[in-house]
Amino acid sequence: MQSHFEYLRPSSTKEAVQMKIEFGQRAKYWAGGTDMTLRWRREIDRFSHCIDITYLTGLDNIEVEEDCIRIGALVSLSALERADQRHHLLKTLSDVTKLMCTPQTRTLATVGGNLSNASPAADLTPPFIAMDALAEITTEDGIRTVPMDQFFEGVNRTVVGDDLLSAIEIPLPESQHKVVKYHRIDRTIVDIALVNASTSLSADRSRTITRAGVALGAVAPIVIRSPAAERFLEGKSIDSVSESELEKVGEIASEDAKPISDVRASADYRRAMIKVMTARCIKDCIDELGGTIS
Amino acid sequence: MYKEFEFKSNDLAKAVPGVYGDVQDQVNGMKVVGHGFPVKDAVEKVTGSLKYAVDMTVQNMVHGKILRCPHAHARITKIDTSKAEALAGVIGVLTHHDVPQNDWEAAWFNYRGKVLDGVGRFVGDDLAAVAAVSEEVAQRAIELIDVEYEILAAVFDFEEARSPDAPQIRVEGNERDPYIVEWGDTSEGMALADHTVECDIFYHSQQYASIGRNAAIAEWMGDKVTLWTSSQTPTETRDGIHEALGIPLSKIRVMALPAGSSFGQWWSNNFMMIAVLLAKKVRRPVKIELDNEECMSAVKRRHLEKTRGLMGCTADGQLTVAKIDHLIDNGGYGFKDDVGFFCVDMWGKALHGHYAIHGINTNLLTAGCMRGVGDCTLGASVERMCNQLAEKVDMDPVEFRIKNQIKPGDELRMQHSRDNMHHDSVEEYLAAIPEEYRDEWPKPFHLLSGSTEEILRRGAKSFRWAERWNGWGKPSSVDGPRHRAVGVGTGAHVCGVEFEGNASAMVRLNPDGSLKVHCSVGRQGQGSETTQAQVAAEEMGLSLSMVEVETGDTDSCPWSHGSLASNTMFRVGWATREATRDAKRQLLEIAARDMFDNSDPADLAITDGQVHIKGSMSDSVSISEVLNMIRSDTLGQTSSITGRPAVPMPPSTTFARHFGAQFVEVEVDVDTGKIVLLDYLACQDSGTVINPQVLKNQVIGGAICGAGFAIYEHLVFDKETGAIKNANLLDYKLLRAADFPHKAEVLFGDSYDPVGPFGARGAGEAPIAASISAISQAVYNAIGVWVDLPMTPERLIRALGKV
Repeated sequence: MQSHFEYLRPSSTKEAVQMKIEFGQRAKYWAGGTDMTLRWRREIDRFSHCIDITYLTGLDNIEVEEDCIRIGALVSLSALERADQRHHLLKTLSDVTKLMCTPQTRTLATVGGNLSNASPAADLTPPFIAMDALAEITTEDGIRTVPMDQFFEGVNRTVVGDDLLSAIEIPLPESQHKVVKYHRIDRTIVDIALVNASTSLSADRSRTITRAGVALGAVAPIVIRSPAAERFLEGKSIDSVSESELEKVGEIASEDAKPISDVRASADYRRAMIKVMTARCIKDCIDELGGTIS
Repeated sequence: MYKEFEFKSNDLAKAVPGVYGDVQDQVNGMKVVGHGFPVKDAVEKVTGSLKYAVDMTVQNMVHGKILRCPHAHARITKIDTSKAEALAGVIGVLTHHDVPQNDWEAAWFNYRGKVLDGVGRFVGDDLAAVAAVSEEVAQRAIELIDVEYEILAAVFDFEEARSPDAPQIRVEGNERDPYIVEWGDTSEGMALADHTVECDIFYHSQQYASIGRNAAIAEWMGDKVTLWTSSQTPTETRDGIHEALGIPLSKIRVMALPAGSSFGQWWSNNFMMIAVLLAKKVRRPVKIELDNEECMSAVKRRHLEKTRGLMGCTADGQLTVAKIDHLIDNGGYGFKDDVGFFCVDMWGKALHGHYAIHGINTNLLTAGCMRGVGDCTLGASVERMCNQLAEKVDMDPVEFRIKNQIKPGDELRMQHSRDNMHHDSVEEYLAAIPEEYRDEWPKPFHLLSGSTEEILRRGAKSFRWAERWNGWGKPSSVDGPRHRAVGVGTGAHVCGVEFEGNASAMVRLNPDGSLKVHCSVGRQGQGSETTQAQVAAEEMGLSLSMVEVETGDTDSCPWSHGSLASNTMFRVGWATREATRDAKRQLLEIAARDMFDNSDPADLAITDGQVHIKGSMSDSVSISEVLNMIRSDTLGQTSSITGRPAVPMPPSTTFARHFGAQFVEVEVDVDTGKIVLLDYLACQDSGTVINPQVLKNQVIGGAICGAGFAIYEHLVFDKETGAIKNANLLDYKLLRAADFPHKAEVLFGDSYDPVGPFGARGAGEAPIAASISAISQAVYNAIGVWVDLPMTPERLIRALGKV
């Protein structure tokens, strides 16, 4: 039977964190509620207190600064979708949100909620990890930041604890052009990813790849990086990557994948698709950087 | 000896698709039939005011929940309900000890068994039920029922279940007698063949996945019961209650409500019987509302199926032989043995044939008829083999179909061996047809009208098939990993059945000149409340707004099979028209006698509700004037006129089929396995189109449903327990509108059925079958490999040997 719970509405981020600390694991934050309602209905989550943070102010802005893009945790997926004109990285994120759930659900679902749900198949996680994004977490005493690739502990588990995820920051390194791309395998127009991948490349004025991020989803309990694939790309010119190197980097990434077989796809298929998607993401990144595949 | 009908072309269908009304009006003068009126419940649907069963409440109603079997096969040895009954808010508990041990049967062997008998035959089977003041309390009480089980051996594989050593699921044994259709001599057919192909294809199970779910509310008044539920088969549901409870049909009223969608799921279902019995026990109205998981894992599904067989043809593409063995898994309570003989008839020009169907029970969820039953599986196997033969003789698939598919006047063999005919042979059956009908009926066991030929030819032209088809197994274009190709597929189905009784309808012409039609059909989105009204309005000479249809109240609607087997327009529409004709005859007799100086009623006509001498609108009187005249006269004999069919409808399985031919262009990503549908043309031969908008919607809906089965849809059964692992819409993938080409076109065939209402035939099931075969063929042409269904990205990549 579904749990009964008390509804709490904090008036500040700090009060929200205090409530969470008071009730601990028995309490859940409520943002969009789109994942949480399902988990509650299916009795996966049983909680005694629901802390409704939807009324908190200041957490639903997207700020584009010179050195970073800051996305508030309560920014809805539909708001992120509409931010496509504000920055080319946001354009990619906007395209990613279009793949997520349905237009109706996107008006409720939030960026912070999607990350906090910590699904290994989440669509937004791979691009954030690939872009070296940081999670801004509000604690009772202040703020702590955690790199996105250290944010997840396991399926549906994060490092947030009794604190509150308040924003995601995407750093924009000086004098470099950073791009990000995403691919996934899905079935119908409304689906979650069977397997996904995102890559981000940063290039300097000499057209050298200074930083590569390769993130793989639904191939491990959490979204993982492929450090070997990143190292393979870093230092190369955006005009010198060949078709066979694209294939090679896909292979390297697929070796880092540790997929399982489940009702959606087999491990073998997931691993094979990591190769295809990683190569396609890198090709798309190089295209956007104005490079050429040799 | 049977009536020779002239095979006339149907001018209606020549109207430009998309231009309704004016053109057709000028063409053939019909004012209501053939026009694309909006469906009558459109406003209610879009404003959310239409009441489905889940929306219904009745006063003092309590809520029921069902205890479901946690085991694949188990007998209850002890059931203790005391803790559940002691829970505050619980009204009562129903177990198998409370249930009459009668077998009840759903239409066309979709269920046979007792309502509860203390045995669970699949994970999720109904075992007991609780009534309580709320769903939550009822669910809590379900958890408090203590059950001790004797675990029985289970079998999930339908081939294993055929073994005499297999666990027996039913007292009748696991396997039905095979249903066999044969003609000629298959060894002769083999000898004539220059080429043969074989198949061994397994089909996964499709789920109806009906959006909207269902509920059943039962209320007793004394010894009479009323059931509100969403159902396609109102009168068959009443029959089921009668069988389950053993009470007279006159004490049972089913109020069948619209279903969000159904595709065969909501006929008569066991949870409806549970609601009736639970309400009787607790002496309160009870509502059992199924949640989505129950709808997908505890009601029914399409069969798992397997085709093994061969087909052969001559060097010039004449089919010489079809020799096919087909297995279907009925799950726990299905009892079916005859899926898919429609393809037997569609490819009926094969010179020699032998088809055997074997129905087998397993400890899986009950399987039943889903839209295009058998057509989508056995039919798809036959289409694939025919494609392979056409490739061997290097023949275009359109031409191969035209050469080998049935035409009017050709023999129909599917019903030859049917037990329901109650005669030992076709000859005896024919001999038993009453003399007086022979002059009026079409020749039995021969196709009366329609075919795939015309829609294939016109469709191919419209789709520019000749330009776009690049040969067998050859894509029309390749762009990196993206291969594009076209495909064509065909499908056919009956136009209703007469196995359990003839269709009837009743109309009542009211004193104000309005008309009410009472006919037992479903309202699962196919527009029956509108199209039946169009038939009656056209026949009576009324505007559509003057006609309303009661489809679900079995206290007023005469018996019919309901909306199954593509029955609604052909058989019930026929009954609606005949009933209206009967009422019109009565009205005109009164009008002729009392208002037109004893003129001949045959000289009168009705236009827009005005009775007049044919050819002249002067001196016309309204229907209401005629009826009010006799009503205000105390010597008058009636105040309203009731009409019913004066003769039986001929057995339509012996002469009527409807046909679909569909063309598709796909793009296959050979690196990921994803299939995208790019372009679509669905051609449909259903005779006269009563409402082009409604039929277009139905044809596209069928094509999407078939595309879903072709690419994604399949239930995943747990290997250990048989439980369904994807009983949710996240992992059971239904295509949405956006997964289908936006510019999909529909083209209607040009045939006219001499028996059907205004020339119409059935419509609902050929489209799904044609879609599956078209997409399968297109994918083959794109990648050069046949992929078994569903062609999920992973299965496609595996077929290419890339994983």
